[in-house]
Amino acid sequence: MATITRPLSSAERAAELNVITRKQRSLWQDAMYRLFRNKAAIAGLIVIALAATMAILAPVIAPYSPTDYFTNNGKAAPTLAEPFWGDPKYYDPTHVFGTDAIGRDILSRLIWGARVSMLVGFVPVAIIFVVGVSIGMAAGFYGGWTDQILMRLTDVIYAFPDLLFLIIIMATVRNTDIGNIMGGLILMFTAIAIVNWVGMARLVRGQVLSLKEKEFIEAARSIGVPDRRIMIRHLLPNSLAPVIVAVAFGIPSAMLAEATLGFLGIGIRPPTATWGVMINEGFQVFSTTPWPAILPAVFIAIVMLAFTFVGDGLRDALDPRMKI
Amino acid sequence: MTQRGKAPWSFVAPFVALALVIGACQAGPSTAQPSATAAGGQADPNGELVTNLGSEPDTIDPHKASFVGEISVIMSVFEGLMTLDPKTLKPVPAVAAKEPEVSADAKTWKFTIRDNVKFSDGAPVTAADFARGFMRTCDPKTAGEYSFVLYIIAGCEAWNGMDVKKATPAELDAAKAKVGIKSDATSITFSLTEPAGYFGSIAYMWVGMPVQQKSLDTGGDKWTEPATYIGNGPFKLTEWKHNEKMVFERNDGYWRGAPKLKKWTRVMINEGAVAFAAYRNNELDVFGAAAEDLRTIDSDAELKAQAQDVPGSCTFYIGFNTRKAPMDDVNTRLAISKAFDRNAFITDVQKVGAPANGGFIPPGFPGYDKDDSAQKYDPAAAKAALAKSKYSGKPELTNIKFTYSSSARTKTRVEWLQQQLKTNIGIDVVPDPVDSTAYTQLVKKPETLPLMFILGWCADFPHQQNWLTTVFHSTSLSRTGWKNDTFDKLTKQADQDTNKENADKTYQEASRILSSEAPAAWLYYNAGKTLTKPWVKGVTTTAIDAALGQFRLWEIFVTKKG
Amino acid sequence: MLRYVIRRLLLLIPTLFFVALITFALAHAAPGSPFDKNENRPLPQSTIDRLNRLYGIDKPIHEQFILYMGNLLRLDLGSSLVKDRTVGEIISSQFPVSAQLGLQALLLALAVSLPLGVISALKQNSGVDYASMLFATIGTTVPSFVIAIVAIYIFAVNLKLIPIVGWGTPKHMILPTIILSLGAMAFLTRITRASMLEAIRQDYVRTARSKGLSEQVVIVGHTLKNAMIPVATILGPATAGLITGSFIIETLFSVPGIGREFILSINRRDYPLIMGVFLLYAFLIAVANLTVDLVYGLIDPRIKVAK
Repeated sequence: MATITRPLSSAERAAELNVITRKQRSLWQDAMYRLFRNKAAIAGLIVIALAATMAILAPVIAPYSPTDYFTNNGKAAPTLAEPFWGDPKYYDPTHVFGTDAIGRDILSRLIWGARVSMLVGFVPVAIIFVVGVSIGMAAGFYGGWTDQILMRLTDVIYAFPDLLFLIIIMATVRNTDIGNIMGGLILMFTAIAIVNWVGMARLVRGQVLSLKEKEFIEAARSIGVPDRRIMIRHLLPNSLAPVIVAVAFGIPSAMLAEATLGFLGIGIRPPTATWGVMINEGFQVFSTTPWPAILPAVFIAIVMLAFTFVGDGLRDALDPRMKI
Repeated sequence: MTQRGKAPWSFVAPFVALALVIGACQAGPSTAQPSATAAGGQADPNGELVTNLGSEPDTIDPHKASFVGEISVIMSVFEGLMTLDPKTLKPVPAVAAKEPEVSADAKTWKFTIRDNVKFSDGAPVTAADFARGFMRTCDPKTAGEYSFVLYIIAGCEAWNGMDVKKATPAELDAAKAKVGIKSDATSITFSLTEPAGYFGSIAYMWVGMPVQQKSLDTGGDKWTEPATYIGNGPFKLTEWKHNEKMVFERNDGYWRGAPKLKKWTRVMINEGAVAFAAYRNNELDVFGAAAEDLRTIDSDAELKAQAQDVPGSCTFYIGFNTRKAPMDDVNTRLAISKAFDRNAFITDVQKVGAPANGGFIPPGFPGYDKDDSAQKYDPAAAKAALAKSKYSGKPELTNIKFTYSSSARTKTRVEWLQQQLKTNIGIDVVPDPVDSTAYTQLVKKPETLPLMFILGWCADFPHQQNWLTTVFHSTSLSRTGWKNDTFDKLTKQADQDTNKENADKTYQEASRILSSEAPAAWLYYNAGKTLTKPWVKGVTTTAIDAALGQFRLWEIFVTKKG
Repeated sequence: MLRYVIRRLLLLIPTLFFVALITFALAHAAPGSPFDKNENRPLPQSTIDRLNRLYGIDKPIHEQFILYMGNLLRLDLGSSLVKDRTVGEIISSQFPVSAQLGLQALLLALAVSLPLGVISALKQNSGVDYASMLFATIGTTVPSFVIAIVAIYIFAVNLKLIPIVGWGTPKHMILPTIILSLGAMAFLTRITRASMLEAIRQDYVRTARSKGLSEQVVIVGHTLKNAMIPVATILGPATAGLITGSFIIETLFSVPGIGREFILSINRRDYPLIMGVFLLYAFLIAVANLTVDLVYGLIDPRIKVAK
């Protein structure tokens, strides 16, 4: 998996520029049409919609609280109950997907875990989008010291293996007061954003650099359109295609980061249910019963596949010539 | 001794640690029962044993080590002046030829060395080698973590506490010369700062293992590598592949006779689940099960037959901040300590462990007091005690914060206790999860000590002094702020008493005061389940030691597999 | 060219300096001391103070940093705070294992992905193509630790085909190597296929075909070489990624590599070890990137690296 979140080499970045400087399809509708003809992308969108619904409606549809393990008579719930397809000897009909090592309902935890995964997928990517696009645009448009600082920062951040960079941020800061806010969610968002925003900024910078030499920008300039307006009205829409593709792939890799950190025990704090934490806890018991680890793993895999299909679909739709 | 979680990234929290330690260290049955597998079978003269050490030891230098896994390595390669009788856990002579000669004031201890004990390279073990070992622990340059255990030796604390970067060599030498450790050709003599009846128990510990000057000179900082790591114990270290495995072979020159086991490999698997899989794959001969593994063991007749309950060396308790209302009233504390059903706690929540129906000291240790019923579960008595509390009916008894080191498992424990207190005596406690690092800091300082909290204590050496005095004497580690003059007086008196029977009685008296004053409500004694393959025989383990025991290692053997 | 290399190498110095600074600040931001191990058997405060003093971690952080950088200039990475070994020793005994694992995975990934990518491109939209693309998508998507857990469960626990304990023999290395390589394998397959497709559509290929050259000559002689350019460019980062990214696999399979050691060191606040490993990784990544840029310049004359 290392390659997903691996830093790009400069040559590769050059290759990327090569790709994106090709002429964009001007018609967005054209792209949408191509996207909706892509069956895999549609399937992906449906899965994402389902997961999002699950996340939003978690309090309503989850049969139990994700952190509760008591049944009404004050006794602890059965621990490690099997799911309905497992060993009937250990199946408890009140928990269709079984329970984990301390008796929490796995179905409920999976449903609530969707919430964290969705949040971790979307929020940091939104931060990255806003920060990366603004800074990348400024750096590309004005050049000068903004650009110099961005490029040097990129060098430093690219020098870190990014998953390990995330790990060290999480492991060290999560035990401070900052790491405690919202059970560590805020820290997780920030950490993912810090590690990944420069990639976005570089991407936008590259786009802007090639676009700003184009005739229509020069034309706009010559008739005295203010810089801000040029950036928002002309540069932004024209550099959006690769940015959208990057966002589409950024979401699953943020989710993967959460799951990995959760699996390492340095993600969101327990007892919050997240898929990564569930795999970690499930792994402790996997030689007794594999389901507490496998179920969240399957959920993660399906949702990430869905995002990848959509990402692929978007890329094909926005730039049909580059088919990776 | 310190026990470390087997999951490398779990910041060690009391309960997490407990659930996890078992993989790295299996503690043995209380009374030294040769394990169920002991009888029968022919020893395989080329027998090999594979066990799991958990993570790689940080150090196996006896004068620096502090973790269970490290100590278990040291105890298989070295042997001290004394060892422990696995039946009673009282010290008995090992390399010392006989019981130590103790002066009338109990401040001078003289140990005579056996003349037939050799290091595994053939060199005789001398009193000077022991003196070198003890001195190394006190030496500030060694940077040992357990040196404080020897502070009872005159001059050790002063020397050990010196700043080696600031002090001149002359100052260091002067301090060294004042340390009360002297050796001659046949004996080693210790002068103590105060009478200490428990010094015999300290003399078994790893901090006093003998070492040859030759090893230190040749090996330097790396003398713990196999070439120079030469001890006088039943096994010798022959290979150490870092982070992968350590290989031990029997020391044929061991003074009690060559051990029956030829080779003992200790691998390093951090993950308990992986280790369990390896055990079931016959890649490990011994495995310490965690609560999660119980269902598999119970449902598998073969595994069940290989399982054995083993008590541990820790007691976990609910601590009270006795300086703050409402916990400054003994009746409040007593009410809480009588208000929860310890047996149900084990069956419903804890799964592995023993209910703390007795005092602070767990079963298997000298001083365990099974008749101590001061905190016995009794809702009626608990209610009566609560009614006597001066806070009865006052707002102080509502919404009491119960602080714990946050983890899913601890949460279940605290919430279970919350429910019990609510049902049995109508007190509302509010669970207050805190991150484990912050928690460690909180419980350390009197100013930040929570009102109610969960802590444990794991023994360094099996003696009442290490439980009662070290943890609850008002001048030592005491975290509860509790001070009781009689308890202080009795423990000190017993510590200094060289008459073992008298000391035991005094300790018991002190221990009962502790329970009935209830600065802490005893919760459970840790324990584990050890799985042992049927071909492993002759294992004797005790409550204090790690995998396979420490005190009868030479008796272990394996029969031909299958 | 030489000047370019020297300039890049010089640029490495400030980069590594900032990597060191950031890592140092982060590592020390974590609360707690390396000697503050266990609340159930706390070391006496005097012992913790003594050890902090002995290891110099009682000094103000900036002083510690200056001291550290001074030692680093003499290539002294310091001693581990919790282990009886120096950071240099730990790295030199554990890193080769990670490197071996990473390189094995890389070779395996290449051996599978290049043919697979080329074949799917040549038979675009065939069953082979769809199957390999499905594999590639799943391989880049499903987290390696998930695959590892499932693989241990199936092959070691249920089928008892492979041993779980140990390292060094092919039997021990096969599962970790395969699982580590899957991500890179999948990614390389995608890249190979895409650039092969790109190459096939070029005009000169059409020209070659129209000249009546055999299909084999066209593929091998004309397209393959060009198709390999994008693949070559990601080999550097892929190698660095495989070598630095094996920590989860190492932990799950008890492989005695540096990644597992690193994860342990973070939680134990072993500052010198954290720093040492991070600097090593940063250095590796930088070298990998530089190598690729140079190679890229060599194989594709259109790119001028020495601008």
